[in-house]
Amino acid sequence: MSSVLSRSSNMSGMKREKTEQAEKTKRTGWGNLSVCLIFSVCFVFSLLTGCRTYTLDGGARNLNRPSFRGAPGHNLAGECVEGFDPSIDYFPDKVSPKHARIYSVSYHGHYKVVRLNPPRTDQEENPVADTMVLVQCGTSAPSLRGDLAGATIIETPVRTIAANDNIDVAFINRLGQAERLVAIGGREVYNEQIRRRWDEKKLASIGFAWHEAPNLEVVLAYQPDVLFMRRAVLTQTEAMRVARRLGVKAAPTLARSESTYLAAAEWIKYIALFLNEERRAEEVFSRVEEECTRIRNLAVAGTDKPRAIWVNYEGGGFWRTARSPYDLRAHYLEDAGAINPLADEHSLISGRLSTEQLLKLAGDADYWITENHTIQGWPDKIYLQQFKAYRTGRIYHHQKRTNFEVPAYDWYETGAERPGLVLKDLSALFHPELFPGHTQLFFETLKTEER
Amino acid sequence: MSNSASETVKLSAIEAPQGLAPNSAPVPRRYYPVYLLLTAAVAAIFLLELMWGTVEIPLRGVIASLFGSEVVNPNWAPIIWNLRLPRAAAAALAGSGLAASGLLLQTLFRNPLAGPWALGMTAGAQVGVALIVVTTGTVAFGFLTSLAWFSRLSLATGAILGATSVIVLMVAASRRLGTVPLLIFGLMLGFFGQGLVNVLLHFTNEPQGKVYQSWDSGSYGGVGWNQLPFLASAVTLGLVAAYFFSKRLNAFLLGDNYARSLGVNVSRARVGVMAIVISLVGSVTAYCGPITFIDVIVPHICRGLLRTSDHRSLLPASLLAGALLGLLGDFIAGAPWERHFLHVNSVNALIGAPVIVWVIFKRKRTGSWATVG
Repeated sequence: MSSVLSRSSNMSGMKREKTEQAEKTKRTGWGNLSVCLIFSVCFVFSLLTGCRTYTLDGGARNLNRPSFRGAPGHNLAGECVEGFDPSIDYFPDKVSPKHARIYSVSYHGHYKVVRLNPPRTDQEENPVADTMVLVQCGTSAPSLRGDLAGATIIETPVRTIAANDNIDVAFINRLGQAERLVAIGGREVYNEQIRRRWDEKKLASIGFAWHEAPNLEVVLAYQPDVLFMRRAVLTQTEAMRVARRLGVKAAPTLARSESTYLAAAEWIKYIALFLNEERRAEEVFSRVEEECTRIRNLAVAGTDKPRAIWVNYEGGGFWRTARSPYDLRAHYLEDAGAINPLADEHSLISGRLSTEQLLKLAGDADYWITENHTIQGWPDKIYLQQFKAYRTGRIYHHQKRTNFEVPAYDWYETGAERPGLVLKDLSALFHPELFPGHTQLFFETLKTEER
Repeated sequence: MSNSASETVKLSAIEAPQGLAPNSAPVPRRYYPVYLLLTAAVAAIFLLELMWGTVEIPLRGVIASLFGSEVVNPNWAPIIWNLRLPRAAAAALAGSGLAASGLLLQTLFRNPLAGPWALGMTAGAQVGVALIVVTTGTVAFGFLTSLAWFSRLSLATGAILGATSVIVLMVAASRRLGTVPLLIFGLMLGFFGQGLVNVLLHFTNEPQGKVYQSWDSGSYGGVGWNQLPFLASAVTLGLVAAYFFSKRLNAFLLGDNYARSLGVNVSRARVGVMAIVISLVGSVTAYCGPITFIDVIVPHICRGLLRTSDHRSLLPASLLAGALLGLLGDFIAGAPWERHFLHVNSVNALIGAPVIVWVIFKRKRTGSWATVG
């Protein structure tokens, strides 16, 4: 009897234990879920402190322009025409690209027609042509028929600008029109005055071109007169269509897609077309062109030319090299008086080479130029020692003017806008006897003993 | 299908199907507060999504913009109507569709971790899109650029075809494999798909590769008013059809033999459920890219909230909870991050991974981790 009772008691105890365990499990399960959810939500919301929002009081800037009557002596960089006369040439200052191949401009009294015809020389670009009609403020827009059908009309001079590529910001700054900027890619700009304006929330962020399409919310909120938007890949092309459909005056920029450094620098004239600052752009670019020509003539005159290559390590034993005639870095090497052993006139794009291929083609190159500011992550020393430039310590990176805290790279701003400075640096590297006492602005020796 | 005795299914909540007629029994009233709570949460987060972004728009601005009355700032209306509203609607639709598809797949495969990703459907869609990108890039350069609308349609077609192929394969495999091997099979298919995508992309150029990457990163931002009708139609159709399949799905919980004994044509029902899942997952993946975790976690959250396995009750809850998680993920990812973009799948992973871990531990403790009941 007692054993039966004991068994019964044991069984009821076990049952109770099981029930308690089940309850406990249920409770712990929900507890776990709650903890997990609370943790996730807290973690995510703690990240939200890094947000930047914009409060708009009354919409975009309302900048009134003074009026101008009659025939102007120079392009009207700030005024609107009053009493429009179709017989007057409102653009006495004209520009025409000499080196740039992607854009062209024609003048028609009170409006300009800007055409973009990206060549299919680089697979990174897309071949969609674009036409814009830049109309002098205060005059009437032409009818968009014939070859102007579907063109985008933009009134000039633009008062407010958004730009998502730092090279365009650099051009605008060089033209003395940085005050017209209302939005840029973000804080990662090397120019300190512009970055300070961003810090003071006087400039909005629309995201950089190398990330994705610009943030259209901000663009719509600020309603800039023009959005300079890098259009290098298909997703950006689609974003530009959306932007234009929403009424944003988007102007594609393709300076980085040009084949030579002078052609890229000549996009300052393109930017100037929207500001009616052709005269200033012509002056600036003439100086750049003159400087480059002078240095080039000096550097290429010598007969003793070193062998130099431009390589960036991609990882996995592969290097991105400058070898195509459509790669402006290859032009830099040549014009600085060096021989590029990787040069391939049939190559349309920058070449990707393995370490073995690089060793075969350019193992004896005297100089290496790279964007990698550290050797960390490069192939092992045992491989690198096969290369002459590594053994002799002649590997240079172009990150000297980089603010790594931000991070911001002047190479992509001043370096792109003033190629003469880069050319002089390179020429002084390859031919120090021609430029005695030259202090490198962009380049410095890559420390190979970091590992 | 595995019908081992160790698998426990909560039978109490399941009523026997009355033939193949659609659901006649009303949803129990005790679930109404949950539905109301979820509906209120969806409405609140939807409104928050319209209010909060890079540009701050107050609630009165949102309401005024939506109803066309005079607003303080004329720039608010285009931001709300053209950018935020279609994005929020896409997030809610995608979340609902994925959650419902997860519920259906977990029942169909009797696997608590089944979902488009675990079963390789996402990888199938990725392979489909990669194939489209590679072939269009090879056949005609500029094709994707000059025919933007068609290109999107072709990407959608690729995604749907890829996902369909995989689910057909999985259903065939499910006849031979048990729960765990099937899951492993699905994961292997996923890895194989990833490998195939990498190899395919190796043969394409950089811009084409970026088209793929842009789709693959998963976002509701690419859905505009032009795409929304297609997405809404496919998801609504799928959700309505799923509701009409609720009783058959309940019967599936008890195993194929039991379902047959209740008069369910198992093969036909299976094909029907597959078609619904393809409509839901295919359309969402096509327009938003691969969106992870919502499909797997929402059914578990809803089962926990309602304490039932009855699809007639679970489906509406999953629909609402899916919309809520879709909106929540997009709300956080779409926050005005100062320096970088945040991917919606990263946010979903932060919320979803702990839930999946919880599911695994809970099932291990109760000894019934391989069931969906």
